[in-house]
Amino acid sequence: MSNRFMVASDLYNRIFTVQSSNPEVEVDYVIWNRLFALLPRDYQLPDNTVLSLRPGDPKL
Amino acid sequence: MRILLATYWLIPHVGGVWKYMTQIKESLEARGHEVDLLGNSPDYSKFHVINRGWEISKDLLRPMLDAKLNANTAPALFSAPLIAHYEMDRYLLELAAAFFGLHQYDIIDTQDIFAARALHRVKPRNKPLIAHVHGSVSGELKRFFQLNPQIGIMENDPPWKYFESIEHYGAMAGTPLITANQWMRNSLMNELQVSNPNIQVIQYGIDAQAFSHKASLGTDLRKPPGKKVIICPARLSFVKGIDILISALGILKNYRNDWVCWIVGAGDKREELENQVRGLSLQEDCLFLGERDDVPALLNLSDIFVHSCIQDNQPFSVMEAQLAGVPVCVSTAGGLPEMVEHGKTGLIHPVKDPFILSEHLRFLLENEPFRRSMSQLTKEWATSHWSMDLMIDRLLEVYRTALNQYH
Repeated sequence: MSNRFMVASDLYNRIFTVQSSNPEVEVDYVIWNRLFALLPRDYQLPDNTVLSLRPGDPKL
Repeated sequence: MRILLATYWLIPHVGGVWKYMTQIKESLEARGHEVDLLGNSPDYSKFHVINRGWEISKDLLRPMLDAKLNANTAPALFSAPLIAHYEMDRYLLELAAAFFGLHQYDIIDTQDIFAARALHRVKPRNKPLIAHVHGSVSGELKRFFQLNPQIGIMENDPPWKYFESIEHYGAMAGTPLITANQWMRNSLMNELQVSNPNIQVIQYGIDAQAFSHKASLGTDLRKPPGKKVIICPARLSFVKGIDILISALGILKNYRNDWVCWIVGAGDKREELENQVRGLSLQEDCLFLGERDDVPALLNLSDIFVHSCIQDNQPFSVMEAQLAGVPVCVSTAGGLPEMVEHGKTGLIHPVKDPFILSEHLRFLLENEPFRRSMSQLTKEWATSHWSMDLMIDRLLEVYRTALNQYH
């Protein structure tokens, strides 16, 4: 039996630019709590700056 | 100082970036600093700080990304499979780096543009990030796409523009950005509009003592009696331009046959190159030695070194040849012309020109006093120019300046 403590992935939605609810997906509490403590407050996924190309270029 | 050297690529690996990272680590630690190495694992299943034994499996991070990032929530990310592939792995690097704890380092020093952008996004604000660029990712991939039209990626397609974008933003992340030569610096500024006001040029260094020691271990190969050795240690891939060397040897053979060529390395072009050698009836003159770990000793047996590549930054193979005092014949590709003073520390031929290369080889074979003089001059110059101590001094100065700016 795994000794990982799993929690709802939705708890960590704030790092995603577009938030969605995925109640079926559980993630490792220890790992994601540590990540949330260490990631910058304004960290967002995906990286829309890179994905929108260089300034002045047509958007994808 | 506690320093993190980070790369998006796998570590360890065969190639210049890993060699650079391990040499830097060794040299900095000899001066009392602590250096950690972060990168992808060889099977790409995890990210690891290899010297510490720290690792995090991507399987612990990916389910979150797979659930939250899809074509509906992140359409730009999924506009092309290649974009999704590189970006998702970069986000995994970001999360892994944050997980390992970037606050414990004084300096973060990235070794490629993916790692530069990644660590820029997750590092603590007051942490200096120095970005090294050892080659142009977008340049190499664009060449690959052009040579392989069956892949179906054309100029201005999303993946094409994506690699330009990530390289631009990766290069902008460094304060400063460090290149090994003016060529790379100018390439970033002119072709990728990198307007980073803080780009510094610091050429690579080689540990001359370690190189000498390795050379002294010798080799089981013997120089053929009465023949001069032309050596070409390189990966057998298209970009290394070994077909140009072979064409040059075909021309040379019309004039002289007092030479043999050792091609040292492995790669996907081997069969094609062996066919080319057979087609020119050079089987007795041009030998494929495969991958070897006694290149320093082979250089000691060699009379001429050739690097006829299509594109390269600042290859260690050329530096090692110069340190061994072997006259080098290099092409005009990339950063190579900055490594050689034509006529003094080597000879430079136009890229993809076997005729001029053959003329240079013939000249060196015919003029032994000149070749010996060039050998001596090259060795003296290389010993000071490619000094590891000089490179580390300059790198530490960059680190200290960056730390002072943040504190």
